[in-house]
Amino acid sequence: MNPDQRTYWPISTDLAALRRRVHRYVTQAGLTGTRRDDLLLAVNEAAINVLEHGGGSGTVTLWHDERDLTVNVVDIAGRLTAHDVHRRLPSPRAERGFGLWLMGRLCDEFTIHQERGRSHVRLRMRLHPTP
Amino acid sequence: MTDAVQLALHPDDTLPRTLIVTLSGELDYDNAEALHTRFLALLADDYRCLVLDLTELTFCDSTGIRIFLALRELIDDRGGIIALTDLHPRLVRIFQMTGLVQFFAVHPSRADALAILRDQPSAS
Repeated sequence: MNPDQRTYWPISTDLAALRRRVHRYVTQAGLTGTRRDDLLLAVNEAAINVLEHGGGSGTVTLWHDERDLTVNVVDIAGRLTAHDVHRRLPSPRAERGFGLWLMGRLCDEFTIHQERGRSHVRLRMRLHPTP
Repeated sequence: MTDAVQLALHPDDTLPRTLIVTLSGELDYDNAEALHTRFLALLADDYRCLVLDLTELTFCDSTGIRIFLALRELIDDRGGIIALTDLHPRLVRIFQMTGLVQFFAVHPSRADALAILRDQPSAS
Protein backbone atom coordinates (compact mmCIF):
# COMPACT_ATOMS: atom_id res chain seq x y z
CA MET A 1 0.00 0.00 0.00
CA ASN A 2 1.24 3.47 -0.83
CA PRO A 3 1.67 5.09 2.62
CA ASP A 4 0.21 8.38 1.48
CA GLN A 5 -2.83 6.82 -0.10
CA ARG A 6 -6.03 8.11 1.44
CA THR A 7 -9.21 6.15 1.52
CA TYR A 8 -12.63 7.43 2.47
CA TRP A 9 -16.20 6.23 2.89
CA PRO A 10 -19.52 7.98 3.41
CA ILE A 11 -21.11 7.35 6.82
CA SER A 12 -24.34 5.34 6.87
CA THR A 13 -26.17 3.42 9.57
CA ASP A 14 -24.31 0.31 8.43
CA LEU A 15 -21.69 0.65 11.12
CA ALA A 16 -20.73 -3.04 10.88
CA ALA A 17 -19.61 -2.47 7.28
CA LEU A 18 -17.69 0.65 8.34
CA ARG A 19 -15.93 -1.33 11.08
CA ARG A 20 -14.99 -4.08 8.59
CA ARG A 21 -13.53 -1.54 6.15
CA VAL A 22 -11.58 0.29 8.85
CA HIS A 23 -10.39 -3.06 10.22
CA ARG A 24 -9.02 -4.04 6.80
CA TYR A 25 -7.26 -0.72 6.27
CA VAL A 26 -5.66 -0.42 9.70
CA THR A 27 -4.53 -4.06 9.70
CA GLN A 28 -2.72 -3.52 6.41
CA ALA A 29 -1.18 -0.38 7.91
CA GLY A 30 0.20 -2.48 10.80
CA LEU A 31 -2.21 -1.71 13.65
CA THR A 32 -3.31 -4.90 15.43
CA GLY A 33 -4.58 -6.33 18.71
CA THR A 34 -6.12 -4.21 21.44
CA ARG A 35 -5.00 -0.95 19.85
CA ARG A 36 -6.81 -1.89 16.66
CA ASP A 37 -9.94 -2.73 18.69
CA ASP A 38 -9.65 0.62 20.45
CA LEU A 39 -9.45 2.57 17.20
CA LEU A 40 -12.38 0.63 15.68
CA LEU A 41 -14.54 1.50 18.68
CA ALA A 42 -13.45 5.16 18.54
CA VAL A 43 -14.28 5.44 14.82
CA ASN A 44 -17.62 3.76 15.50
CA GLU A 45 -18.36 6.35 18.23
CA ALA A 46 -17.39 9.24 15.94
CA ALA A 47 -19.73 7.87 13.25
CA ILE A 48 -22.58 7.60 15.79
CA ASN A 49 -22.06 11.29 16.63
CA VAL A 50 -22.41 12.16 12.95
CA LEU A 51 -25.62 10.12 12.68
CA GLU A 52 -27.15 11.48 15.89
CA HIS A 53 -25.94 15.06 16.14
CA GLY A 54 -23.91 15.80 13.02
CA GLY A 55 -26.69 16.24 10.50
CA GLY A 56 -26.90 12.53 9.66
CA SER A 57 -24.25 12.36 6.99
CA GLY A 58 -20.53 12.72 6.70
CA THR A 59 -17.35 10.91 5.73
CA VAL A 60 -14.60 8.84 7.30
CA THR A 61 -11.14 9.35 5.78
CA LEU A 62 -8.07 7.30 6.70
CA TRP A 63 -4.41 7.73 5.91
CA HIS A 64 -1.11 6.81 7.45
CA ASP A 65 2.59 7.45 7.22
CA GLU A 66 5.45 5.56 8.84
CA ARG A 67 4.60 6.93 12.27
CA ASP A 68 0.86 7.51 12.60
CA LEU A 69 -2.46 6.24 11.42
CA THR A 70 -5.04 9.01 11.22
CA VAL A 71 -8.81 8.94 10.87
CA ASN A 72 -10.74 12.10 10.04
CA VAL A 73 -14.50 12.02 10.61
CA VAL A 74 -16.40 14.98 9.14
CA ASP A 75 -20.08 15.84 9.62
CA ILE A 76 -22.33 18.40 7.94
CA ALA A 77 -23.68 20.12 11.08
CA GLY A 78 -20.52 21.47 12.71
CA ARG A 79 -21.86 21.40 16.28
CA LEU A 80 -18.80 19.79 17.86
CA THR A 81 -16.03 22.19 18.84
CA ALA A 82 -12.50 21.88 20.18
CA HIS A 83 -13.90 22.08 23.74
CA ASP A 84 -15.78 18.82 23.30
CA VAL A 85 -12.59 16.76 23.54
CA HIS A 86 -12.46 17.51 27.27
CA ARG A 87 -15.69 15.80 28.26
CA ARG A 88 -15.76 14.07 31.62
CA LEU A 89 -16.94 10.52 32.13
CA PRO A 90 -20.74 10.77 32.29
CA SER A 91 -22.67 9.25 35.16
CA PRO A 92 -24.18 5.81 34.55
CA ARG A 93 -27.62 7.43 34.43
CA ALA A 94 -26.58 9.80 31.67
CA GLU A 95 -28.22 9.19 28.33
CA ARG A 96 -25.33 10.61 26.33
CA GLY A 97 -21.71 11.54 26.48
CA PHE A 98 -19.94 8.20 26.61
CA GLY A 99 -18.87 8.39 22.97
CA LEU A 100 -16.79 11.57 23.21
CA TRP A 101 -15.28 10.49 26.49
CA LEU A 102 -14.36 7.10 25.04
CA MET A 103 -12.68 8.57 21.95
CA GLY A 104 -10.35 10.52 24.22
CA ARG A 105 -9.48 7.41 26.18
CA LEU A 106 -9.11 5.03 23.25
CA CYS A 107 -6.81 7.00 20.96
CA ASP A 108 -3.31 8.45 21.25
CA GLU A 109 -4.64 11.75 19.91
CA PHE A 110 -8.19 13.08 19.78
CA THR A 111 -8.83 16.54 18.41
CA ILE A 112 -11.80 18.43 16.99
CA HIS A 113 -11.77 21.48 14.79
CA GLN A 114 -14.38 23.34 12.80
CA GLU A 115 -14.02 24.32 9.21
CA ARG A 116 -16.63 25.87 6.93
CA GLY A 117 -19.57 24.76 9.05
CA ARG A 118 -18.36 21.20 9.54
CA SER A 119 -16.82 19.51 12.54
CA HIS A 120 -13.69 17.45 11.95
CA VAL A 121 -13.01 14.75 14.53
CA ARG A 122 -9.46 13.50 14.21
CA LEU A 123 -8.39 10.22 15.79
CA ARG A 124 -4.75 9.21 15.66
CA MET A 125 -2.82 6.09 16.68
CA ARG A 126 0.94 5.70 16.60
CA LEU A 127 1.81 2.60 14.60
CA HIS A 128 4.86 1.70 16.69
CA PRO A 129 4.27 3.06 20.18
CA THR A 130 7.20 3.09 22.53
CA PRO A 131 6.24 1.17 25.67
CA MET B 1 -27.45 -2.83 8.51
CA THR B 2 -25.70 -4.53 11.38
CA ASP B 3 -27.19 -8.01 11.81
CA ALA B 4 -29.51 -8.32 14.80
CA VAL B 5 -27.94 -9.64 17.99
CA GLN B 6 -29.02 -13.27 18.31
CA LEU B 7 -30.60 -14.39 21.57
CA ALA B 8 -30.82 -17.95 22.91
CA LEU B 9 -32.81 -18.68 26.06
CA HIS B 10 -31.67 -21.26 28.61
CA PRO B 11 -34.51 -21.85 31.07
CA ASP B 12 -33.47 -23.44 34.36
CA ASP B 13 -36.08 -25.32 36.42
CA THR B 14 -34.39 -24.37 39.68
CA LEU B 15 -34.52 -20.65 38.80
CA PRO B 16 -38.06 -19.99 37.51
CA ARG B 17 -37.84 -16.23 38.07
CA THR B 18 -34.51 -15.83 36.30
CA LEU B 19 -34.24 -15.14 32.57
CA ILE B 20 -31.03 -16.71 31.25
CA VAL B 21 -29.94 -15.55 27.80
CA THR B 22 -26.93 -15.98 25.53
CA LEU B 23 -26.21 -13.01 23.26
CA SER B 24 -24.22 -13.38 20.06
CA GLY B 25 -23.16 -10.98 17.35
CA GLU B 26 -22.24 -7.30 17.42
CA LEU B 27 -24.24 -4.79 19.47
CA ASP B 28 -24.14 -1.26 18.09
CA TYR B 29 -26.09 1.92 17.36
CA ASP B 30 -27.83 0.20 14.47
CA ASN B 31 -29.35 -2.76 16.33
CA ALA B 32 -29.34 -1.70 20.02
CA GLU B 33 -32.88 -0.37 20.16
CA ALA B 34 -34.27 -3.55 18.59
CA LEU B 35 -32.45 -5.61 21.22
CA HIS B 36 -33.84 -3.41 23.99
CA THR B 37 -37.39 -3.89 22.66
CA ARG B 38 -36.92 -7.67 22.56
CA PHE B 39 -35.73 -7.72 26.15
CA LEU B 40 -38.66 -5.60 27.30
CA ALA B 41 -40.97 -8.20 25.73
CA LEU B 42 -39.04 -11.14 27.21
CA LEU B 43 -38.96 -9.57 30.68
CA ALA B 44 -42.67 -8.71 30.72
CA ASP B 45 -43.44 -11.78 32.84
CA ASP B 46 -42.60 -12.39 36.44
CA TYR B 47 -38.84 -12.39 36.03
CA ARG B 48 -36.81 -10.82 38.82
CA CYS B 49 -33.28 -11.69 37.71
CA LEU B 50 -31.41 -11.64 34.44
CA VAL B 51 -28.29 -13.59 33.46
CA LEU B 52 -26.59 -12.47 30.25
CA ASP B 53 -23.97 -14.83 28.81
CA LEU B 54 -21.80 -12.61 26.59
CA THR B 55 -19.14 -15.01 25.25
CA GLU B 56 -20.34 -14.60 21.69
CA LEU B 57 -20.97 -10.86 21.84
CA THR B 58 -17.85 -9.68 20.06
CA PHE B 59 -18.55 -5.94 19.93
CA CYS B 60 -20.43 -3.40 22.04
CA ASP B 61 -20.43 0.38 21.59
CA SER B 62 -21.71 3.23 23.78
CA THR B 63 -25.27 2.64 22.55
CA GLY B 64 -25.01 -1.00 23.65
CA ILE B 65 -23.76 0.09 27.05
CA ARG B 66 -26.87 2.23 27.45
CA ILE B 67 -29.02 -0.86 26.80
CA PHE B 68 -27.20 -2.80 29.53
CA LEU B 69 -27.70 0.13 31.92
CA ALA B 70 -31.41 0.33 31.04
CA LEU B 71 -31.82 -3.41 31.72
CA ARG B 72 -29.99 -3.00 35.00
CA GLU B 73 -32.39 -0.24 36.06
CA LEU B 74 -35.40 -2.36 35.15
CA ILE B 75 -34.10 -5.35 37.15
CA ASP B 76 -33.14 -3.07 40.05
CA ASP B 77 -36.71 -1.74 40.17
CA ARG B 78 -37.94 -5.33 40.54
CA GLY B 79 -35.51 -5.94 43.40
CA GLY B 80 -33.57 -8.47 41.38
CA ILE B 81 -30.03 -9.09 40.21
CA ILE B 82 -28.47 -8.69 36.76
CA ALA B 83 -25.44 -10.89 36.16
CA LEU B 84 -23.07 -10.78 33.20
CA THR B 85 -20.98 -13.83 32.42
CA ASP B 86 -18.18 -14.93 30.08
CA LEU B 87 -17.41 -11.43 28.82
CA HIS B 88 -15.47 -11.26 25.57
CA PRO B 89 -12.13 -9.41 26.11
CA ARG B 90 -13.42 -6.45 24.03
CA LEU B 91 -16.37 -6.11 26.39
CA VAL B 92 -14.20 -6.48 29.46
CA ARG B 93 -12.15 -3.56 28.16
CA ILE B 94 -15.08 -1.21 27.58
CA PHE B 95 -16.79 -2.13 30.86
CA GLN B 96 -13.58 -1.61 32.82
CA MET B 97 -12.65 1.59 30.98
CA THR B 98 -16.03 3.18 31.68
CA GLY B 99 -16.09 1.91 35.27
CA LEU B 100 -19.44 0.28 34.55
CA VAL B 101 -18.18 -3.11 35.64
CA GLN B 102 -19.04 -2.07 39.22
CA PHE B 103 -22.74 -1.77 38.37
CA PHE B 104 -23.14 -5.41 37.41
CA ALA B 105 -22.47 -8.76 38.99
CA VAL B 106 -19.79 -10.15 36.65
CA HIS B 107 -19.02 -13.89 36.73
CA PRO B 108 -16.46 -15.94 34.84
CA SER B 109 -19.08 -18.48 33.73
CA ARG B 110 -22.81 -18.94 33.45
CA ALA B 111 -22.58 -21.91 35.85
CA ASP B 112 -20.98 -19.67 38.50
CA ALA B 113 -23.70 -17.06 38.12
CA LEU B 114 -26.48 -19.66 38.39
CA ALA B 115 -24.90 -21.26 41.46
CA ILE B 116 -24.87 -17.90 43.23
CA LEU B 117 -28.42 -17.03 42.15
CA ARG B 118 -29.76 -20.33 43.56
CA ASP B 119 -29.03 -18.91 47.01
CA GLN B 120 -30.97 -15.71 46.25
CA PRO B 121 -34.68 -15.65 47.14
CA SER B 122 -35.44 -13.20 44.31
CA ALA B 123 -34.10 -15.54 41.65
CA SER B 124 -35.95 -18.76 42.38
